[in-house]
Amino acid sequence: MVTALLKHLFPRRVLETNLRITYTFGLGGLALTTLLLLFGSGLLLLFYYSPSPERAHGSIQFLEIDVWGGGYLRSLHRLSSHALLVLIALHALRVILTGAFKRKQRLNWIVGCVLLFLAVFTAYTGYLLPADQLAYWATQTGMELLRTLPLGDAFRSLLVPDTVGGPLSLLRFYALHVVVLPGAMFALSMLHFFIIRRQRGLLPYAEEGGYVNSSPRLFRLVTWGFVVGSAVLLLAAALIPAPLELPADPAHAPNPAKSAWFLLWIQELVAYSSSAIYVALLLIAMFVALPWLPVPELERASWFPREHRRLAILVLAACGLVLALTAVGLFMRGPNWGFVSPF
Amino acid sequence: MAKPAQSRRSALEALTLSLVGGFGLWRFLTPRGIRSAREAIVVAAADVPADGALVLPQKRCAVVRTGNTILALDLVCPHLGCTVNATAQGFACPCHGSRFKSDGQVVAGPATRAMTRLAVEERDGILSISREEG
Repeated sequence: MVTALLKHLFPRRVLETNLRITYTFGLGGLALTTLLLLFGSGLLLLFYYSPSPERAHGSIQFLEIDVWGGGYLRSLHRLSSHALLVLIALHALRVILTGAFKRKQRLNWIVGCVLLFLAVFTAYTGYLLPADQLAYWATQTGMELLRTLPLGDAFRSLLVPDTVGGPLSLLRFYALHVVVLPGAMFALSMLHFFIIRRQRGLLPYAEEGGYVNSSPRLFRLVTWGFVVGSAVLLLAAALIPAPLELPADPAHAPNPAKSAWFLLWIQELVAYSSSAIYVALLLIAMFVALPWLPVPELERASWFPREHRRLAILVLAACGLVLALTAVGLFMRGPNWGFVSPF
Repeated sequence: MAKPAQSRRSALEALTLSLVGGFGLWRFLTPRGIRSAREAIVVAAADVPADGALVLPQKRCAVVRTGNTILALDLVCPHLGCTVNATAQGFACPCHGSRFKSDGQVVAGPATRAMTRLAVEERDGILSISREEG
């Protein structure tokens, strides 16, 4: 019965050519796999975490030291959240570079964009919860970024009614992180799949080939993706433990103070000038508005379609810029945000 | 999907509902009675070294003495609000790399404004600093 329910997430029949792994690389399915792992591990972490400034750090320490499998679960949750962000980004890149974002796919493109923003926001709210130095300062620098935006102060007062890491803000980040945002992400990802089903599958890939039943070939692919994706993360979590620094200390900033890695490119941008935040905003706005940009609509999907060559170059350049800024922020920034050699 | 004939009405309903709901939610989430601590910071003048600075990271402020003048500076960076660190030359921001002289003037960006000066009052060798610009 459960299997039958799950099968309804997918189209009943699919184009044979769309089953080629080199079309989608199963990135969307892998992202859903990661989301499910996050739900599972997060649910278990709820049994030990205590969302108050005095007890949060202690509850994580207890989880790490005294709870069998506690450290492993925390590591799995952390790695899965990193993986989810990377997979959604790669999935979006696949959709762009195969030209599958025009007319028919517009609605799902927007749903996907909202999912990406929710994933980033969920990861950001999760950063504060351990209440260690990393948590406090990553959240603090992120909040300062928010204040540079129009209406940023209003949003900040919604998220942080007291001070970063104070009782009210920690509780808010917690409520958002464990109920509001995961709920929204689950609902929207179901919608994301449902829209594909309603549209009878993805944009056709390559020439010729007719429809086949989704059972068994699509479902076999989905199962394999789920098993392999989970296995990789379950194994990685055993090898890479999640760090826990000293308890948050608002009086002593680490030097340099870096925000969460997925926001580091924006921090790096505003280190040149505060108004550089608008470069980031412009990039994000163009990303969302992609289906409305003047590029021709394609009958069939293909990797790097000739009609979209200029767009592909632009998108890859933007990706390169974001990656380069992130790398500089991660590896080449030392005390007082000065340049250091990464080697 | 609503039919076109109904769409204006349902759009108005949705708009009204979200405005009312949004307003209520906003009021609910911004409680009264939260004020950031504005109490005066009190230090002994003798604790401020000659031609040096007394840094109070908990209070996010520094007291700087140059010759006979005493100056209190807010350690909140005027760029994006990180807490700046005291260095041998003055102050430096760990978040985006702004640098300031010991009197708070900008040496290097991205900050474009000097650090905020706080009001200082000296009475019987006791300095009281208030978080109002001075």
